[in-house]
Amino acid sequence: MTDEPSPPDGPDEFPTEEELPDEPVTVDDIDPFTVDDDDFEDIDDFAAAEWKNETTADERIRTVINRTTIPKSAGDIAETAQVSETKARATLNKLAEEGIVRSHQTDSGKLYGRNPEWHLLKQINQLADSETLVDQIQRVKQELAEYNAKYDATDPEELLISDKELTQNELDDVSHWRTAERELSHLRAAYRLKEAKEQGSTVTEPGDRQTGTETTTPAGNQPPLQ
Amino acid sequence: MGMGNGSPIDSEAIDECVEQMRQQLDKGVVKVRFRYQKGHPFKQREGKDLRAARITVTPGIHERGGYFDIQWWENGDYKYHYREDGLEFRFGHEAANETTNKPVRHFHPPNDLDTHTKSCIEIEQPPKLVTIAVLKTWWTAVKNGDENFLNAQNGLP
Repeated sequence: MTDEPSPPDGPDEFPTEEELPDEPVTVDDIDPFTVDDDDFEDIDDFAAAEWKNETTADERIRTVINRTTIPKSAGDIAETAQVSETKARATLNKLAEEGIVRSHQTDSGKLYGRNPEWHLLKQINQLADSETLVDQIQRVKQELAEYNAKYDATDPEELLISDKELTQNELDDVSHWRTAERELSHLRAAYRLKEAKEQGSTVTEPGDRQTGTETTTPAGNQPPLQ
Repeated sequence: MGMGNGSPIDSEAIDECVEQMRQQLDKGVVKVRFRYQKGHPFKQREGKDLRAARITVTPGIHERGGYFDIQWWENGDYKYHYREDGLEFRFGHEAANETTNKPVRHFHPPNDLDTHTKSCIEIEQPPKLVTIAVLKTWWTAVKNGDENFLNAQNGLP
């Protein structure tokens, strides 16, 4: 319930003995990093070197562009991805051809961002595999109903544009409310996609049976063109 | 003003951090649980719209293990909150601090959680990279059994 105080966020929340493995794990059992401390004076340099050591340039560019919602120059993306600008530009142009990246020319040069449609479709397609879509939709709808009732408003933007100065707790509610709205639209789209997929597979069955009598046709097992 | 400043929660980023934690710590990650609604308890995965992740890690700085609670928002804000019995600290990024005298990239030290110290971590993106940096500060404290190493990593020991 959104009206209840947040769960303890203080020092009393820590793992109990039962939560931890019976066989103690010590610092000698774990080796988290592949690069050596001694070579770095700065935490940022250390982290960058570690990330570079674990990944390929292509992987890092994909990681960075996947999060680039506001288009940026190849130079900026190269810097975040720890690759050369030439490498970044070549990879980004290739990804743009594949539809994963969207690029556009501006007065100050070419800018690259993730293709929002490609990204959305990928997420919905992944969600459509879930077996618990209806449960998830109900959970999110319940959450939205709680916010509607709590603030007597149909959407979080009403709160943001009101004269009221929002407290930290209310801003947190706005964050969750917006997240729930985003999620409900994704879940519903995924449900429709799942339905369409299932529909598609039942419709082809009679067709399969029909073509089954003509197995010698050159079309083979390809679907009829009509 | 506040973490995220009202922007939606970046569930994908949180997932990337969890994946990175597992990759770095391997068997040091004991358990991962997720929160799906404000104020609700952490539980097993039941969808991708997670709002926070709680990673149980072992060993700890003075104890056998601790919790890392991780959150990211779509405006680029983040919070890494570590707790073990008798000790907690936070690394955070809060864009709304821009207009205040508090640092955007900050550290809440174990001895005084209300203090906003400037964070030694200056990188802001991507979440995988920030996660490596946070883990490095924690790991140095774990190895030395001393929390004073946490935000003291410029001029690494």
